[in-house]
Order: sequence, then structure tokens, then C-alpha cells
Amino acid sequence: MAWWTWGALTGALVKGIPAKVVNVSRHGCLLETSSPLPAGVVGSLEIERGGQKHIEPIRVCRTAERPGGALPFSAGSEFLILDAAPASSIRSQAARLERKQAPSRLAGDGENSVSGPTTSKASPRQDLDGDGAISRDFGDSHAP
Amino acid sequence: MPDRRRGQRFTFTCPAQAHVHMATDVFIERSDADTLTVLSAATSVAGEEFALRLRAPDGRTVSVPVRTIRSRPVFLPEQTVSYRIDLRVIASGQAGAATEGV
Repeated sequence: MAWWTWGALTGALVKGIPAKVVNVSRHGCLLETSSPLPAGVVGSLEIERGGQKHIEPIRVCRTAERPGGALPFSAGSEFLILDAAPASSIRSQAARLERKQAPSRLAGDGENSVSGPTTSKASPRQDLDGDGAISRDFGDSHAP
Repeated sequence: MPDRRRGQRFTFTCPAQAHVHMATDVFIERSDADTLTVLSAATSVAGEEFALRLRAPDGRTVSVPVRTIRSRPVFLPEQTVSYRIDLRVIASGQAGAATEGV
């Protein structure tokens, strides 16, 4: 039976906006888009990497416009936790990277210790997962 | 700023292709194989493309690619402003126009 004969009263109009993921944490990510994303809007972030699609539910927290670029709109978004993150998701990868880096930051930089002053949080580029997916600590952005 | 952050930030070593999908609930007023009219809380501009997600009677979800023909505001009783949007099915009602979704 053809879809237009179902008599469905409601549906959902889904709009897909191309985006660039600038950086990611285990809480959220910073996106750059060609059209604005309203603050507060809920959607799903679909990332294609290595031939696989990963989908994360997100909520846009803040937006900013930076005229002049190919992607002039930026949006800080937080991941919506609806279920446990799959191991291959960027949320899970960011959490693993953060956990791996935490001990070295405390010991090496003296952060949260009484033995020395806190130094820069920026760390050298590295690829801890070895798959070229997510790399280094990022210094300055709007993501949660 | 760094003091307000809850977690460390990481970047991708290779650019990742991404899309943000945002959904708007719509009320379908009329539909046929090629065109349909919906009521939406959000407006649209002519030429804008969407995937119209519908739930089949047997529970399947299908996705129909559509393009906005025109959108105009309507004032419904006891409601805020809504928009009546005329949509055209991309691929012109072919059997392949609707694809099953998750």
C-alpha cells in the first residue's frame, strides 16, 4: 500500500544540515554549520567515519555567527544521554581519552597538587586510539 | 573560559563528515503521490529539502524526500501561528521515493 494512502495524520519533517565537528568532549561538541542552529533545538548528529555512521542525540546550547567563513555559524552542543554509548561513538572515545590523560596531567603538570603551579592544559597532538579518530586536547571553544 | 569547562576537548585528526538532523512535528492535511500539504509550527522557504518521516500502519517508518513549494502563515483557533507548507515529493512518487528507516 502506497504511503500517501495510509491516512497518517502526523509525520516529522527532518532537515539535514551539513556540519563540521570542530572538537569534542565526553559531554558535547562544537559544530560549524552553513546555516544557523537555534539554541535549545534537539536533533541527532550523524558522523561518518571509516565507512561507518555514528549517531549521537544532541541539544544545541549556544550559537554564534562568524561571518566570512564557508561555515559561518558555530554551535556548542551537548550530548543527550539516552543510553550507554557504543564503544565506537565519539562520546565514548572522548571519555576514554580523557580518562587516559587525567593521570598524566595530574602528575606531569602539577594540576590539583601542592607540589607545583598549574601549567597549560594543552598537550601535544597524539592519537591514543590509533585509528586517527580523535586526537589531542583542544584549548579554546564553546562546547560544554 | 577554561575554568567553566567540564571536560577536555579533542579534535579529529581526519576531517569527519557530519550532518545535524532536526525534526519538526507536522500535521498532514492532504497527500497524494506527488504533493502534500502539512501544518507546521516552523516555516520553510521554497526549495528547502527535507525527509518526511511517516509511520506505516504496520509500524514501519518510511522516509519520503520532499521539497518545499511554498509556505504561508495560518492562524488556527486557540493556537499560535502555524504555517501551511506545500511540499513536492522528490522523485515524483516513484516506488523508490520512500525508503524504510529505523
